[in-house]
Amino acid sequence: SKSTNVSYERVELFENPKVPIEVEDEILEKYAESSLDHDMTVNELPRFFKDLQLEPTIWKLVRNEDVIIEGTDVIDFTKLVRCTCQLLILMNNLTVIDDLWSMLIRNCGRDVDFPQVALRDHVLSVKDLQKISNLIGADQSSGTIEMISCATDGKRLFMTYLDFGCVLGKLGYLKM
Amino acid sequence: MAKRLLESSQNDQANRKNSKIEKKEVSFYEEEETDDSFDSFYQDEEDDLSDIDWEEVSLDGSLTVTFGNIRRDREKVSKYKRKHNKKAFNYQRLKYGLHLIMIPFMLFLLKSRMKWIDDERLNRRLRRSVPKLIGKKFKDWDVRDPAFKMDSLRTLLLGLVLWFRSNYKMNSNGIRQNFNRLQYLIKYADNQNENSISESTYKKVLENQQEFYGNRPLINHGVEDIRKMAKRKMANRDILTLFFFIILENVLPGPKKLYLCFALPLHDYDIRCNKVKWQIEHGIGKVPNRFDSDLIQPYFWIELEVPTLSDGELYIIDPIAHLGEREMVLKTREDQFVPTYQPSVDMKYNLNQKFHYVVRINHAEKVLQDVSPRYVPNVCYRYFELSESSPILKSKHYTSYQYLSKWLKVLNKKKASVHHYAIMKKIALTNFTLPKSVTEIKRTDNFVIPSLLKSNEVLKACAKQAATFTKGDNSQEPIFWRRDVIQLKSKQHWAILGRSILPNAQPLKRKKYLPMRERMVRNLDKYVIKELFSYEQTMKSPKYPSTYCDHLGQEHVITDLSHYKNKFGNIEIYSKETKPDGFELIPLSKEVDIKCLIKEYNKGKRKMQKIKYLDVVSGFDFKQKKGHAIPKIESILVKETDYKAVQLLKQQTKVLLGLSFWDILLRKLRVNDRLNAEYGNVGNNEETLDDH
Repeated sequence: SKSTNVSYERVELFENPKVPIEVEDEILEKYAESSLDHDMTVNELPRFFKDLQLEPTIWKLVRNEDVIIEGTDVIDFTKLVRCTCQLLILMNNLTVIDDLWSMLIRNCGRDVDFPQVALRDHVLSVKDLQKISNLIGADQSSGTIEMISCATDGKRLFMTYLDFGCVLGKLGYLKM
Repeated sequence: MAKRLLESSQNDQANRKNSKIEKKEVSFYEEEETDDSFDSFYQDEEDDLSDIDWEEVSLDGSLTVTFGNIRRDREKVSKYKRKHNKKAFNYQRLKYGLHLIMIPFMLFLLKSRMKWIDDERLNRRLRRSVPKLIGKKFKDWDVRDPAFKMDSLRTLLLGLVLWFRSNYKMNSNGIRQNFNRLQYLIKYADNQNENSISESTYKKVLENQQEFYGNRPLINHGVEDIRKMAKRKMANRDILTLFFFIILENVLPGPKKLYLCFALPLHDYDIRCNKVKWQIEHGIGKVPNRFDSDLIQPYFWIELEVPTLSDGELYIIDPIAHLGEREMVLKTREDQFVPTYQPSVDMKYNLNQKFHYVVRINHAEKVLQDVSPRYVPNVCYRYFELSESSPILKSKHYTSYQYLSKWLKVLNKKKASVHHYAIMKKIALTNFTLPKSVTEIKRTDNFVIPSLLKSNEVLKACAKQAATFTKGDNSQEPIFWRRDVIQLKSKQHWAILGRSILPNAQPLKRKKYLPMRERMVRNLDKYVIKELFSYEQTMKSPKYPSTYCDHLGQEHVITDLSHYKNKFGNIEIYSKETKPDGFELIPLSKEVDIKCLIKEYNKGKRKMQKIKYLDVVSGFDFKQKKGHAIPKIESILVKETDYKAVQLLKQQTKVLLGLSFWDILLRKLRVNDRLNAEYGNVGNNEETLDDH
């Protein structure tokens, strides 16, 4: 690879974070509350995140498909734990992410084009990324598709604040 | 040397051709030479033909055909000509293409004609035009005894035809092809400006297409226009036949089966026009008048069966074209050949109306049926039972026939009548003329003589002699049916097609040939013997075995890839079905260098943990380097367990690639931002200075 700064060990560290026991206990407790007499579904996600007192500006960006059993709207517990832990990591690093994210938003001009949108609600498209990479003198289309694809698992052509936070996590920019 | 030989043979051919032209009288047409270049073109486009999806086009409205400028710039043309030795355009190909492409249009035309027959107002008008006297005669006939009815029906029909001919008249032209005009327009598109006379001729030919196709009746309002024609008792030969059909349907009492026959006026790819410029300048190929008097034979006619009177009896009625009373109404049997409808093959006449196919449609069920064998001789080849490797399958005549059959199936939406097919087969297989010259044998798909077999062809062991052929020097050679010829292929060729030679199969023929490699270094005596096998001697290539037996006879599962390695260090898998169980194919891609990934992964791993792979040859590239077969390696073979590991590696590489782009972007952007913050943007500074 081009840079020695990225390694798969670091990616795995973020993708499968070590969960402190007390955190896992709390998650389990809230999960049990939601699924006492039935399987927990996506409708109960907001209350679940609220009960855990997570940051609403980030958890509202969580995509249902990342925490459910495929093809249903039932929550997959393992996925939910992983997602919650990642949210916790991001919450501990909000200033770092905000800093870098606002740098991106500024450089592609979205802050001027959409002044009424809050910082964490912005999205970045392939074109925005292209604009930014032109700015720093990279030749056209150098890696922007790969970058978006890496940030969204190849599923979308735009990325959110949450996607960006996860990229930083995989890069090892965040305190774990 | 080989080249010189080739050249001299070409000269010979040219001389022969010249002398042929000198000897012969000038004729407008000539039969196409049987050359193999046509076959090679055909094979390229073989797949294309079958893959085309056709859309239904209604033929009641007008159809606009536009074409781009066919004139190419001069430089390009001269280059093209130089390259192709002045054989710039293959008209035979164009003709064959047009021949095929017109088949569905003609069939739709016949179908749409049949719809008019159901029009009530048209029926009424035509019924009322028949004099009461004639109507009464038919009614009287109906009450007589069957024997009398059988004997007198022809006379009655003849009377109706004669009355029809004197009351209904032709006033416009029918359907015809005109390849003379087309060939002239294409051939002289580039040099029409040479002198003003040829320029004006070209322009005239281009703009006055009615001179070459005639004035066809305008049908803009569908059946309404047809009713008007019936009222005026005037139309062209196709619509008049339709009128007679309706009249007959109305006046002939009792159960009957009426069929409208259509000899499809398709381009004839077997003949070529001579001196097309001279022909055009002398007005040959133009439509003589609105009666189509140059088209001596009809292309629309009627078949009538009266099943209650006699089974298998058939009346063939031509209400328009034929002059003799015998041909106007012909009484025959359904399994008899009818020679009078086949146009003469005199090359001095306008051959635009020669036909290959006759299709009929019946009134009651609107089912289309191929009745060609009744009217066209020498079509045995269409009804042969052919083996998979018969060369007939690839002949242009047969492909055209298959194409027609395919369309008939599509349009009928149900299975064809087995009985009808049997009758047609019987007529076809008994109606042929034996070839009298070598050219005739080359041209026919029905027969062959052993000396004309190609090097990869052989006669089946069961082949029976059909006749004896006497050559020019009075020596004799047996004639065989061409259906008994099979094409052979080498072991390697079969392998590429996914087939293996059966064990114990003996080659049916051995072919001596000089590999291109040797030919290029002029090693003309280093020939190779190739063994040839037939389709029947092969089977679908089996899977590579997934187990082996050791010297004690015990069976073991193969886990080591090297078991499959051939002497070139790879494995040949031409079809996925032969891939051994327990192993997986991984396609190589340009984005990720998979082999390199595996190499990286294997670094520092113990021998047992390393991922092993084998290059897979899936075909050969013959074009890259002349005379060489370059193996195509588009995938690798790995153990099933390693397959997942490689997929994971691929996934990880992709993620890491994306991340490293992110890393670079963020670092650079941060530096950029800091520079801007600390030193300010140079451009902005200047602006602020200007303001002060």
